[in-house]
Amino acid sequence: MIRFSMAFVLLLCLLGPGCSRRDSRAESRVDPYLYEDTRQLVRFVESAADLIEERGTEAAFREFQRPDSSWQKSPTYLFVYDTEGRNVWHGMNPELVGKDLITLRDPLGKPVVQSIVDVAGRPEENASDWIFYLWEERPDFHPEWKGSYIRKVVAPDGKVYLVGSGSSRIKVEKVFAERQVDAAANLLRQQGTEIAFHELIDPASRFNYLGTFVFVLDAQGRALVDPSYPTLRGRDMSSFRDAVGRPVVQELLQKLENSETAWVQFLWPKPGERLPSRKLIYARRVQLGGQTLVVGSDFFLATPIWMKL
Amino acid sequence: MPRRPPGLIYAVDERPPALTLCLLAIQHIFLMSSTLVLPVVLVSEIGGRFEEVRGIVALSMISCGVGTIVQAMRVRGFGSGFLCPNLVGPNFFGSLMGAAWLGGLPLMRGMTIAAGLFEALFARVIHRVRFLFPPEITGLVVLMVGEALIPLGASKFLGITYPDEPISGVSFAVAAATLFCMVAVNVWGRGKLRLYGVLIGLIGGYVLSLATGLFGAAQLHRVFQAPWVAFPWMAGITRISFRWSLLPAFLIVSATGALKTMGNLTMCEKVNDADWKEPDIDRISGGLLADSVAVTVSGLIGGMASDTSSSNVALSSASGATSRVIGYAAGGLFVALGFFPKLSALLSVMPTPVMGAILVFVTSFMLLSGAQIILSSGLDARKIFIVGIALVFGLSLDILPELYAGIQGWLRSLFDSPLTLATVIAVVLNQVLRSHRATKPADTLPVPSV
Repeated sequence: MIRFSMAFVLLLCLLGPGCSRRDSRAESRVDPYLYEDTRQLVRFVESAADLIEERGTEAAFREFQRPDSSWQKSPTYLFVYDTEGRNVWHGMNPELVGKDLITLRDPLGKPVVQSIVDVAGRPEENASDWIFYLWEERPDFHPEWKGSYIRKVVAPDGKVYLVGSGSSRIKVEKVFAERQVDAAANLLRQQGTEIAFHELIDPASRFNYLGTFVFVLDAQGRALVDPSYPTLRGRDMSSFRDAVGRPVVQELLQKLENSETAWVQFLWPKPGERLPSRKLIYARRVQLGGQTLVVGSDFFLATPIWMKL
Repeated sequence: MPRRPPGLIYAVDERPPALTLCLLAIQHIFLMSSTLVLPVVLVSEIGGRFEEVRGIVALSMISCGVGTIVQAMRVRGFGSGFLCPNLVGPNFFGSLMGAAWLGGLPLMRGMTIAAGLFEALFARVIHRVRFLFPPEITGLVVLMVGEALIPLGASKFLGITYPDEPISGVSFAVAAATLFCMVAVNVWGRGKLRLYGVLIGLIGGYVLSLATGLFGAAQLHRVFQAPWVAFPWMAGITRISFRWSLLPAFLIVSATGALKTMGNLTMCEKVNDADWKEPDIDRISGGLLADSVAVTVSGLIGGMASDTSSSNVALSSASGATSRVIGYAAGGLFVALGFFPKLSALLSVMPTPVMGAILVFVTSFMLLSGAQIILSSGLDARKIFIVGIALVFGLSLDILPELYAGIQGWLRSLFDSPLTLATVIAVVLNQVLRSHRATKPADTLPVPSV
């Protein structure tokens, strides 16, 4: 038993320095996210933002650059922009520092840096948002979808910066779908169907994200906006059934009769796979000049690694 | 008359003192709670309300408690008389989810009842098919039951829930320290200290989780939110429906559950008898009947299907306490906890690394017990190929599931579980190779006592 007690104390000593209580403010920021890799990315950016807020950019950048610091060991890198779109810190490519990148676009034409800078326009001092774009970290034949978490930060000298970090391993979170669908619903209400439909179908719009998109159906389940089949506008989706025969669209329309928003889960094989995986639709009912529209987005839900369906 | 194994502290017919009994029962109910997350996931997945989640968790606890009690009984061929607790059955999860997706909770209940009745039928005919399950095949079943715990145990131990997630250093360290604690008590603990290996590890794990922030306000908030007392009920609890198209899948799952219970009860027999040679089919039949009652009750009262718990059987072996009275106490406590949501919430917020450590601890016992049963059957060339080929294809289903992705229709259900696939292959091979002259037994390997 003496050996056991000594070994346990030794283990605790080894464990102790590596353990720290997580900051409760940062933890409240990660609460909406389901996946740990998303949470880790948010924590990473939030800590960087805290450092800039407390010590200013000069001291924070020195810390970011320190070879044995956690910022250097992280699998993702930090970037910081000013409100004009000029890069002031880049953890991966220092050559970009000082350059005005406001016109930078991804292969789809999405204005990447402009989207980052837009976060500064929010009234909250610590506003944050996600942006999604195609990117290649190194020369590749096909760019990958990347999701970046952006946080507005006010330095002690009063200057506003945008600090962020991204990952190409980000999975679609439920909150991502909610934000995209709710934003599309607002766009419809504010701009009307003609402008909104045009934007929703544009591959360079914010509504094309992480390999999925926002669609619009009418109250009978006919597709009005379907970015994956732009030439099949008006096709009837009400008869769509999933891999086990569940009438997904009918169920969605039924739920939306009694509620503004609805979630429906169904089974469908991922591209190139035979066995079905779990897929989720989030949709919002929008009343527009006597017409009922259903704005929605669907995505594959990650299955717990131990779970078999 | 079974010979008492030397390491046993409280044998199946003995009664531990009250305080010891209470602590041992608590140790078991912590483990029985390890799959309470499944009804939560199931109801959430089908868009159920919070009241439904709470209701189904409470009703599942009651059916598991009842299952644990009836399993510990041994009355006129009913029950095995062993400490073989029930928990919410992970092997039922996929099929129950499919039923719930198609027809909501009423269909889930109806199909659970059908699975329970099928197991009762299996229990009645097992005497006639006992020739299908010689010791090397029951050993294989025990081994594969342990194998089925690996994905859950390893992922919880490393603190990973979804693919591609990074391993959390802190979570891993807490899991390692908790596991070390349990193993150390088992390896170096003297006398009755060994009884409480998991409980001591649990306390250590909770303390470390609190210290490192892995267990904190968010988890305790869920406990504080739950009411102290609530009658387990939910709207539409009496509605039951049935679909013939789902029956084949549920029959296979029920057969898998029955095989798992056979494996668990075989291990119970072995743990309680130093001279164990082969399964007591009468006792296993009684155990299967008790298990079928537990599954049917789950469906009737509206809980999720219960199943015998391999990890609890392994725990009883590890702690040296196999008294059936512990089963009565743990079952009774679990039923009672169904009426006290605050206490059941406290169980269900077990930190992930602690849960992972417990699962790795008990899986080690399960795997090696299975291997020991196989090896003690006196391996010859025939048995080596029966078990070996079954293992190759059974494990391939877990390692390369895409190999079998093209199999459709009723046959698909056979390829949903490595346990089912390996058992079916072994049973078939055993019959195919039966007519051949038995070969000379290979050298028996020295096997450490588990």
